[in-house]
Amino acid sequence: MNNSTPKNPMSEVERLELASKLDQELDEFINTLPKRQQEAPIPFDRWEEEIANHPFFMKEAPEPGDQLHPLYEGLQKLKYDPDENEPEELATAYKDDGNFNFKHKKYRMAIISYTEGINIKCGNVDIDASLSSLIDAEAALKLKPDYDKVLVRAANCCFKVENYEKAVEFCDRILERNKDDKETLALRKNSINQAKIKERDRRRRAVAANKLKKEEETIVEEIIKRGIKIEGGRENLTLSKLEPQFPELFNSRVSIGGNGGLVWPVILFYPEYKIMDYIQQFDEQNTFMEQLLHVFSDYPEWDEEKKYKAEKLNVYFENGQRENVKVDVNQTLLEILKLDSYIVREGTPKFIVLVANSKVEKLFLESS
Amino acid sequence: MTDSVEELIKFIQIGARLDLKAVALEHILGLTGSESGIATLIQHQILLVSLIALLDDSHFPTAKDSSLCLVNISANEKAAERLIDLEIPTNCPPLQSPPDNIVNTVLKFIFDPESKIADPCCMILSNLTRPSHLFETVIDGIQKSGKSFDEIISVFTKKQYNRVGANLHYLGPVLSNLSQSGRVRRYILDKNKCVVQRLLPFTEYRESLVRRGGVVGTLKNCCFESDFHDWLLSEEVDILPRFLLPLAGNEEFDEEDNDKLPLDLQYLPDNKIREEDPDIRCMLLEGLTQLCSKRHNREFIRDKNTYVILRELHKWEKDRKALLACENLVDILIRVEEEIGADNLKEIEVPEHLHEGFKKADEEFLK
Repeated sequence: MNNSTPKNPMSEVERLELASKLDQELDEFINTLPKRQQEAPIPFDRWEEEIANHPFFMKEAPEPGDQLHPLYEGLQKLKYDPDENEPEELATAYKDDGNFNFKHKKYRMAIISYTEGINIKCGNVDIDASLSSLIDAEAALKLKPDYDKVLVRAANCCFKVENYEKAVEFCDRILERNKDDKETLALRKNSINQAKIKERDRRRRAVAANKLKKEEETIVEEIIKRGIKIEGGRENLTLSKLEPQFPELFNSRVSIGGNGGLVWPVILFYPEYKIMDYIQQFDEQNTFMEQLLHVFSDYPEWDEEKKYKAEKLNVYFENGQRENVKVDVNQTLLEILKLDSYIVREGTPKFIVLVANSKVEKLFLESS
Repeated sequence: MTDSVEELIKFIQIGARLDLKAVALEHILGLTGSESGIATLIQHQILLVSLIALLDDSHFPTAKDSSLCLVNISANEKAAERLIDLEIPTNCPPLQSPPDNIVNTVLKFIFDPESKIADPCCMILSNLTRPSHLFETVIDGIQKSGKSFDEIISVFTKKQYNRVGANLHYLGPVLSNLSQSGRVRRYILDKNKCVVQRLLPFTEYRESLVRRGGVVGTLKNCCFESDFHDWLLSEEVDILPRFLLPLAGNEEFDEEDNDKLPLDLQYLPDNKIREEDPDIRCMLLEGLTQLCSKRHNREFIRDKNTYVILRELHKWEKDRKALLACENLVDILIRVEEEIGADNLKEIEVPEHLHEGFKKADEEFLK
C-alpha cells in the first residue's frame, strides 16, 4: 500500500514550537510526581560513617543482620527479585555470589548461594520437552537400534538434560557408522567439555562443604577443650545445638575468629527498660569492660536519663540455680564462660546489665 | 630331543585323540618355558603351524593350551620372527586345511566377541609387535587382514566388547608398539575422526596397569608428531589435562592457582592418588616435554599453571628416572622465553662435545 501524499518536511519554526511544547509537557508530568523528602544534611563527623555504609564506598560486605543502606537494599532487591530477573539470570547471580563468597572464604554463605541457584526452577521448557523426547527415542531405538535420525535426537536430548555421559555414548554409536560426521563430532566434544565443567563445579562444592564440616568440628573441639558448660551437656555436642534462637542472631552462631579463638553471639539484657542488645561477635579474649565501652560509646536512644555509661554499670548472669552472679568486668568473656557456675544456653551467652547502685538494681537483685 | 618333538607333532594334529593331544600340548607348554626349549621347537615349522591350527580346536582346553604355548613362543624375539615368516601352506600337517597366518588368526579371535582365547591372542599380538624390526611387518599384515586400526581401537575402547569374559587389556601394549610407526600415528591422529579421543579416558583406568600403560605409551608416541601439537592441545583433543591428572596428587591449591588450572585438575578431592607406576609417570612427563617443543605451546602449557602440578610432583617423587624427567620439564617451563631463545626446541643443534657431557651427567644422576 502506498502513502498518497508525502508529508512536507517540518519548518524551523514548527520544530521549535514542538520542542517547547514537549518541554512543557515534561515539566507538568514531573510536577505530578510525589515529592521526595529533603533529607537533613549529614553532620561532618558522621560523614565518614555514612560513606562507609554507602554501597559504592563500602569496604566490607555487610554482615547479615546489619542495618542496610536503602540504596543497598534497593540493589539487593533488584538482584534477587524473581520478578525482575529471568530465572537464568537469577541462577547465574546466585552462582556468582557463591563464587565470590568462596573466594573470600565464607564457605557457609557460598554453599547457601550455590544451593539457591540450583533450586531456582529454570522452568526451562526445553528440559521437559527433551526428557519426553528422550523416552520416545529410547523406545524407538529398542525396535531399530541403528536408526541414525533417532540416535542424533537422543544424543541431543541427553545433552540438554545434562546427561553428558549418555550423550557421548549415543555419539559413539552414530560415529561407528559415520566416522567423520562433523556435527556428531562437535556434539561429542561439547558434551565432554560440559561434563568437565559440571564435575569441576561438583568438586568445588564438595571442597566447600568439607571445609565447613572441618570448621564445625574444630569449633566443637575448642568449646570442649575450654571446659565451657553447655546446656544439655557436652556429650554428643553438635553445632546445631548451639544455634541462636533469636532472629537477630540467626547468622551469628559461635565461630572461630581471626586469632584462632572463639567468637560468640551475646545478649545483654537491660531489665530497667526491658530491652536487649544483640552483640553478634564478642571475641572471647575481649574483656567485658572493653565490650561495654564499645556498646556504650554513645548513650543509647532508650537511655532517657543518660545513665548508662560503661564504668557505671554492673553485669550479672544467672547460674544453674537461678541465682544472679556478679561479673568482674575486667575479666574476658572466656574467663566468665569457663566458670563452673556459667552455663551457655541456646548457644548464646546472656548477661544482665544494670546501673550500679541504682534503685532498679536493688529491686532486681532482691526479687530473684 | 628332535625325535621326541616329532612324536609330539603327531599327537597334536587336529584329528588326534583328545587325551594324547592334551598330554602332548602339556609337554610342549613345558618346553616353551625355557629358551633352549623354544629354540628346539621353532626348528619345526610344522609344529608351529599345528599350534596355530589348534587355536580353532572345538575343545576349549586344547585351544587354550595352544594359545598359551604361542604366547610364550612369541615372547622370544627369534621365535616371533619365525612365526611371522612362517610358510604355512608348505608346512601344514597332512589331512587338514592350512590355517591363516598368525596375524590374521589372532585378529580373528580378538574380533570375535564370543572367543574365550581373545586375551591370549592379544598377548601374542603384543609380543609380535614389540621387536623393533618386526612391527612394520605386522602392520603390513594388519592392513592386509582387512581390519583397520580404527576398528582395533574401537574394540579396545568399547565397554564390554567380548561377551565371554575377555578384557582385551593387552591391546593397549599392541597400540603402544604399533604407534612406534609413523603411519599408525598419523592414522590415530586423524583430525576428521574420533580416534585418539577414544583413548584419552584410559589414562586414569585403575583396573589394569597393562591397559593404562599401553594407552599412555601410545599417547606419548603420538606426541612425537610436532605437526599435530597444536591440534592435540586444542579443545578438539585437549590432551594436556590427560597427561597432568595422573601426575597430580591431593595437594590443595588456593583459589587463584585452581582457577588457572585445566578444568579436570581444579579442586581435586582428598583421596586423589598419583599414578603408581614410575614408568608410566616417566612416559607422561616425556609426552609433556615433547609438547613443549614449540614456543606458543610452551606458553600455553605454562599459562595452564602446569608448574604447580610438577612442583608438587617433584616433592613427592622418589624414582630417579621420573625425577630427572620432571626436572627437565620444569626447567623448560620456568625459563623465560628470552633465555630459551628458540621457537622450536627440536630444531636446536646440540654441539657434539656438549652432547657427550649431557649424556654423562644424566647417567651419573641415575646411578
